[in-house]
Amino acid sequence: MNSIMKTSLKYIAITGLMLSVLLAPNIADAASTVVDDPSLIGMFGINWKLFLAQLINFGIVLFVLWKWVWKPVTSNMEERTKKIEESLINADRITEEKTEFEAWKETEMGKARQEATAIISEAKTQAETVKNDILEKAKLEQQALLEKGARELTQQKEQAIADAKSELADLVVGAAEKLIREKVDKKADQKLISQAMKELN
Amino acid sequence: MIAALPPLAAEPIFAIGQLPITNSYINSTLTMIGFVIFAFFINRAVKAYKNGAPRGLLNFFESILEVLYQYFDTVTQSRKKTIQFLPLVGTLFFFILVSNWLGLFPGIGSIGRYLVHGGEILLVPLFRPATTDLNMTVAMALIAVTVSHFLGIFVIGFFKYFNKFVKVGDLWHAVKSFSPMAILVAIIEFFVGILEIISEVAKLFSLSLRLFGNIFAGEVLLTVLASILPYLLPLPFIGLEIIVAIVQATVFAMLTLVYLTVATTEVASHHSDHPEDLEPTPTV
Repeated sequence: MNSIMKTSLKYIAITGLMLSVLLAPNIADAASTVVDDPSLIGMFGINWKLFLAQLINFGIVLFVLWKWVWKPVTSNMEERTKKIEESLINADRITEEKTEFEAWKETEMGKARQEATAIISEAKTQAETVKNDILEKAKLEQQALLEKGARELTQQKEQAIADAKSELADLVVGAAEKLIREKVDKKADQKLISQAMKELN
Repeated sequence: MIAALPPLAAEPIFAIGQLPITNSYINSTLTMIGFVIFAFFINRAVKAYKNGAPRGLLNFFESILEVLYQYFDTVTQSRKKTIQFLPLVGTLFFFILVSNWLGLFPGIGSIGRYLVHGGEILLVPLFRPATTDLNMTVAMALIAVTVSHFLGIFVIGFFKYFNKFVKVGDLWHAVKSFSPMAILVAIIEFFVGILEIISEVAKLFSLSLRLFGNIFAGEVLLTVLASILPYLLPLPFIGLEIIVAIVQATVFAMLTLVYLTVATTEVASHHSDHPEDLEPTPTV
């Protein structure tokens, strides 16, 4: 509609100019006719040239205010209104989202905490079982080692006794042999040896 | 000493070629220059605060604009129309307001040249409010009324607008209906439409003479009071004249707004089946 108003103004200006051209020859010595015209129109100071001059003055004001004030200021205000409205809507949405997020965060954190405690307790029980296992194993190993040690000791003892026995038997045999070599024959000798062995055992 | 009453017509101070430069014309030119400067600063402020909060002059101006919007909305019933009519109506309002107030400014009406007038030497004031010159008020009224007619033609279509004044469409429809009552009503309405044309011309006179008469009368009143007792006596009347200036600017602007609104509003047609009514109206 602004463009239409502009066109209408253009038409007004053109009509005004045409009128001024038509009427120009009628106005001679304008400065004196303004005051001295005795007719009603002259009494009020109506003078086509002055009229046009005033029209142009007002037209300039209208045009300049239009270009520099009304159009930019109104469009700017409208834009600002739109922007503020959008921002308000956005702000509402953001707070909504924030509360939603808060709630989500709360539940997630609760879940995480639960999970964490579950994990920790599980770990604890696992650690307990592992510990027990290890302890048991260690105990078993200890026992095994002890048993093994004891067994080796008895073995060694038996060995030592057996060794000592055989050595002793040899010594006894040797000594007896030396003692009775000359007096006893081979048969008696044999008998003596087995007897001694029996006794030893 | 009784100061000379201001004459009805603005007095020429000097002439440029064929154009007499009257004291009113000097005032309106000064006002025009003032408005151009104001517009320049507003425009600069608008560019400066394009994406931010307005400050200073622009803020003040926008607050005034918001008040105007509310008043205009009561007449136009639509914010869109208000913004569309604002350039013309707002300019009229502010130009008339500033011009009226300038008449109360000290020095306007008292600083002048001694010129020969009708054989006497009189003090002719250098400045006289632009709105106390009938040339100016008629120019503004002519712009207001002409723009309202052009807008009406563009918005509701030439035939419909023409039919508001010369109701040939209604008459033709009534004749076609062969109802004597309808024909009689249509003939009466036809003459009412012609009266509307006279009222359109009367708008021009009423707008211009009302403004001129009120402000001029105020000037005369203040001159008379000042010549009776120049101290204190005119003060309350100056206060009244400040209000009169606002009232007259508002009346002129509001009437213009009413004319624009009425011209762009379609009259309820009695015969929407009429083929000429179906001509597309330009969307603006």
